[in-house]
Amino acid sequence: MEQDGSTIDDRTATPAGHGGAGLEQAADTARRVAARLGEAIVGRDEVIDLVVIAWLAGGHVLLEDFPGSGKTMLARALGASLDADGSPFSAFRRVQFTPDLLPSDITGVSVFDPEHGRFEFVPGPVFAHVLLADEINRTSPKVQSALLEAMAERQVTVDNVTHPLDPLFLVVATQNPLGLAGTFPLPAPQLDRFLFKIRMEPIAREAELEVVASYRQRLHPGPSTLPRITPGELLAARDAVEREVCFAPELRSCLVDLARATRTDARVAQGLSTRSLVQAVPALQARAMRRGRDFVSTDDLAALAGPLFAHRIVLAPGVADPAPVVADALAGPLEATTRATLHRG
Amino acid sequence: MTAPVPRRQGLPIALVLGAAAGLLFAPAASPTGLAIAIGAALLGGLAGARTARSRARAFVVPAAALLVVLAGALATALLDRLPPGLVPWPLLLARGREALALGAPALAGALLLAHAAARVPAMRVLPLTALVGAAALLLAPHRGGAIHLPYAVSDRAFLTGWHPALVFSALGAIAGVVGSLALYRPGRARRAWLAGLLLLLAAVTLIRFAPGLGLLRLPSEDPLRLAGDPRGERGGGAGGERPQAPRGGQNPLGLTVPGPGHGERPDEMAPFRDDYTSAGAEAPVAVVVLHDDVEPSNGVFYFRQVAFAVHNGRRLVRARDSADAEGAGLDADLFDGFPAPGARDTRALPPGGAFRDPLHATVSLVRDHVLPPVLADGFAIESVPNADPALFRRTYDTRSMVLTAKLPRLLGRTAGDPRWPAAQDAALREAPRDPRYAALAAEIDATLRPEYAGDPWARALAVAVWLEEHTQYSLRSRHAAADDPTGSFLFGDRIGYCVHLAHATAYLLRAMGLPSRVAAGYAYEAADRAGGSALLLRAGDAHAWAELYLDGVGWVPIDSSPPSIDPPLAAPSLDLQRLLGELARPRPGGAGRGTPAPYRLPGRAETLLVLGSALLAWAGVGHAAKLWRRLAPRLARRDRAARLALRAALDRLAETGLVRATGETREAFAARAAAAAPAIEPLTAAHLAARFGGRPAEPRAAAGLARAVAQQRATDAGRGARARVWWGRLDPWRWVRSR
Repeated sequence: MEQDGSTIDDRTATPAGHGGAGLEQAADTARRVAARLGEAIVGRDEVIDLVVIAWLAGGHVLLEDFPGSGKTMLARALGASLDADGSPFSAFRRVQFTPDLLPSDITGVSVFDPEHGRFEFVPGPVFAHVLLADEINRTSPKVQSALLEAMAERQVTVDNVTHPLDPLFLVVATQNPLGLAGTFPLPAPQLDRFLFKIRMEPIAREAELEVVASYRQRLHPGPSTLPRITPGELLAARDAVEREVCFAPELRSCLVDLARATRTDARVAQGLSTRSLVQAVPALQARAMRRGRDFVSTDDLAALAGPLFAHRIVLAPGVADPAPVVADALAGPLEATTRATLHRG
Repeated sequence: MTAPVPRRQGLPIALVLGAAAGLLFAPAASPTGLAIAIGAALLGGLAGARTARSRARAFVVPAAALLVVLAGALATALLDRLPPGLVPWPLLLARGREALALGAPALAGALLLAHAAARVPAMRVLPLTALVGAAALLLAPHRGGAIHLPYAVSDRAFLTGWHPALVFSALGAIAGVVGSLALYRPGRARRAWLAGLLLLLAAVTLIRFAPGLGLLRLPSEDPLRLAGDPRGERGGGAGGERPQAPRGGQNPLGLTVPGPGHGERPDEMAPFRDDYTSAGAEAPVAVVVLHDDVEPSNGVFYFRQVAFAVHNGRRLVRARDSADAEGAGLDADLFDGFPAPGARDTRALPPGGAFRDPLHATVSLVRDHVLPPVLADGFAIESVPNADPALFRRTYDTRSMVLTAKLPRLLGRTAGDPRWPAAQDAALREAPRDPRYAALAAEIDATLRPEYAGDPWARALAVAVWLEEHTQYSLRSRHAAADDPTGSFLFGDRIGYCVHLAHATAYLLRAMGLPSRVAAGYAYEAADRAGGSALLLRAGDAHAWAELYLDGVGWVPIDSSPPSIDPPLAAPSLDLQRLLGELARPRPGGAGRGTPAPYRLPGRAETLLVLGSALLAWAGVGHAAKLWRRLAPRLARRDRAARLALRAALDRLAETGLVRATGETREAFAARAAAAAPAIEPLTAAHLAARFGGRPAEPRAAAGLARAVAQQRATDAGRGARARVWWGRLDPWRWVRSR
């Protein structure tokens, strides 16, 4: 936890000077969220970083992990880091996806109120800041698409009435990579709705030791002493990132070249969509901000290409792992862009 | 349309096209014309690359190229049709015409190629293809190992004394290096050129030392591929119209010694045989360099190897080979072998000094011979150092008295020599017993005008004329099986070749009572030397002829050439003749005579000098570039300060062996290198901020960071690391690795 997380925070404390105050504020907001998450979960700094980036970029996260790897804690802490007092939305909701789940269990349902003689909308779990959609591949496509539509549109329509969702609405979905029997794997267009798909690796030995040593405290956490953030701060941070982090033309072409490379790869049935590139931009900007920069660099692209793109590629039959495909597609444009920085512009 | 080639690629394309034009026109053009052609190609290349970036329609450039070609052709045609004398400076006119004839196509071609190459990425191969094609065209005659071709290269090699094989090997090495460079990816061009330079140096060094190490065999046998058909026989020589099937004479290694046409032994020379063909007649057997300008009286240089004087019942043979005649004096003027190296073999001076001129010649044998061909009438031969052991079997000097008197002056002499012993005189006049010879001789005598009756020379000419009028020449004869092949020829179908004719002449002369013999060797038409001093003797020049002895004149050839029904042998190639003559010519200065050192190989000192200066240049250029890259940040403008500072810092880190891995981002490398030089991290950040964030760095601060990196790196490293740093500093081209 120390090495990576602390370097991030150290740098965040001294953001790139030149970026305006908005960016400094944004960095501070992100740092506070990350601190609260780091308090709750040990040894998951990379995941925390990605989740924070996703939140800043307004995207959703799909975690591919094994049971008991701390994802509930993560989502709960994420919700708890938001000062949602006075907000119509609850901070954190969790839905365990099962085969018999119905769309209305997600979106909410209109119930007849005999007192007023009319139907009243009872909001479902999507009306929250943070929604943990556990084992999303265990439910029917009907329910999946109800959730995914809510994720994409940030609104829910029940009985011809449209209910807007929280602008900060973040879905942390999980799926178990093993035990696929009786599951409904998400098709590629649906996976495209997730900004990141994060494969959670087992945590380091020291971190695991620490988890075991302090499990009791974590089971019943007292109220954190770390400061929370307000929805307004998060929205302002998003705005600052979008406006103030520079995304150079070289990197734009690097990104496009990466996508084009995936489309010509023999191992790929369907390469990256243009939409995925558009979605990648705020994520790259958010990571640059988290690293204390006011410009996107090749480093951001190298770090985020896997989580951003691996799940959006439809592989040709017989090819199992998209990671090397993305890495190969990125290698050429990335190296060319990196080298070009030493040449005359 | 795809993205056009960036501006900087125009020059390389133009350079390649200029080189191609140079190679293409080098053999044909004068230096001025060549310069103009190269200049035009450069211009066309630059213009072509430039127009590719313009928005001109696709047909404009090809149309312009066509226009240039047409204009050039039109102007050339106009110049050709100018009335002579209209322009007072003919040289200028010729130069102008050449400039137009070469410049216009070069300009148009380069324009078109460069335009296509710069406009369409797939066409970028065109200029290189043009270069390779031009080089291939230039060197095409060299195929098959013909080292004397193309002359543009070999002449220069001969003039400078370099062995052509070395020159062509070096050309091959250059072609190999350039070809492999062309296959490199554009991104790696800098390293590729460096590697190519080193490879070239290594190749040239290797070629220089290869002969000494036995890696490159300088051709020692038949490098000119002069032998023609490898199945053909070696040898030639008298009666060398050669048999089709080799019969002995060739050892299993194919190295040999006289072929059957020549006879394995001297006594088998010039045999009667029915199975001669003219195959391989073009193959050179010897090169003769004349040191005196002498024109033989009947227009033929006779190189005598052997003479047959004794009649053995079937034909004439050498006196020493005949059973009964003691050879006294009959073979006295002949050379029965080569003198030992450095030795001299002399014979009595031939008589008839008033009719003859001395001729000094140097003969270099391309083929082994048992008996030396000596220009008639030779009185001395001397072995001299082989003019070129790679080409020739041996070299010897001959001194001869060549018959040069006008032929009518020979009238009125008596035949034979009164001083001859009776046996010798009798042997030379002994005719076959067949009465038909005497009858024919009398018939021929009857054709003489009365004033010439009884004159030996006139009678001999009459015999020759009669044979020319009444026989036909052909290698395909049918007389070998007869008891008397000459009789079978003369009184049969009268179709035969030189051996038949020579014997017929000799027999008829003897039937007239005139002393005569048959000589064998080579006959060379004096006209074929075309004013040069080199004679190329070929297998087809092998000949046998009759000789008549006139008192006070010596042996006079009586040679008749009846109409041939065989295809004639073409005159020798003048180029080859001249070239071989140059090779066979003894080198001036005397030193070359003692030691056979035919070609110059660079000396050790020379080689070391070249290699050393190349190495120095290599290191100097590298260090200069390194120094420039190091100093550049201090002089840089604000907008490039960070980039140049980072480049300098990366160079310094590369010296310690720290190089960014492919695929590693700048930040990742900076984090890795920060252990050695912490300043690299802020410098990288400043550079990236300038590049991606559009926020130029403060030049002084950036240069300071670069200096800090230089000071920080590897200060606390161990001995091994320090040694590596020193080596990295010495390495002039280490900076190529920083990226």
